[in-house]
Amino acid sequence: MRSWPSRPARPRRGVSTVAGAIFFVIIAMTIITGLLLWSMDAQRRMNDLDASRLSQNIVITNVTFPDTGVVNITVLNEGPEPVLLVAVWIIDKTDNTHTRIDLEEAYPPDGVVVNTGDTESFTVGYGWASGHTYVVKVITHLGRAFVRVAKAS
Amino acid sequence: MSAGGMRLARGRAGVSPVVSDVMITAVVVICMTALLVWTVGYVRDPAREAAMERLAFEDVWFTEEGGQKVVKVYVRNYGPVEIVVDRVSVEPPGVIISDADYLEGRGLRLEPSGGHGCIAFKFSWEPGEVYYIKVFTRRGSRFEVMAVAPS
Repeated sequence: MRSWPSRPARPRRGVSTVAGAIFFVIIAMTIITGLLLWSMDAQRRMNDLDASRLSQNIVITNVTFPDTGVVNITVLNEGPEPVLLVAVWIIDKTDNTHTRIDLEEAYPPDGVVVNTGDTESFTVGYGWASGHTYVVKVITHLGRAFVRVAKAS
Repeated sequence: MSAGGMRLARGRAGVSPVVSDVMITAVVVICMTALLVWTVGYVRDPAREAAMERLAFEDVWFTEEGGQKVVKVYVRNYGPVEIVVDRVSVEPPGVIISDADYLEGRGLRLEPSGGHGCIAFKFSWEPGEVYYIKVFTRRGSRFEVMAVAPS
């Protein structure tokens, strides 16, 4: 009778300690593994972003000034991925003025979308002056700039 | 001897589980707290977030406003984290633009994935000179662009 109560008490204590330790180690390992995987995934996403940016290749094939206050821009996407054009800069080299035209506002919601291999034409409002030379710069959603010089006549 | 030994044994048997429970609780609490602190520090490490900052220069404009020479730098945040512009330096002459010379853009906040804005500051640029403009973020990243002042 006296020996019975002491026997189950000893193994119970040992099991709970070991179980607690294992439980803690599992939690710690789960958190550390999760963090490492998250960290690797974040690094991979940044690498993909940089590679995607570098692969963008837009060619401004034509810039025309068809009407007063209107500029027509034609672009060709020679890159491997669709590109969103989010802004156009028109720089008047004759009188050194820089004007930004937000394409996300002009062509909501994303701006001008140019699929791989496609040619897109779009117009922007800009008060150009005859005889002036303009640098037309299109900006992609990843911040790349592609330039063409054109003279208004 | 035997009575003392029994007393000691009884005392041990009574105190040991409580002490061991308290010790285990303390160890677990300390370890989990340390793990939590390390996890939060790891996730919020400024160096990690600084490595995710991406800033592109849309345009640099050397101009004059009110008889003063001004440089306007237009930047775009295309990365996944917010960027706060801390300061700008121009080389040559290798100066950090002082607070008083900013017309706009000091402390400019750029939203992730598309935030854009202008940093404008007074600077006595020389026509035809090549300048390296460096933008420093609050996390310590540096982004640089070369620009030529118009002749």
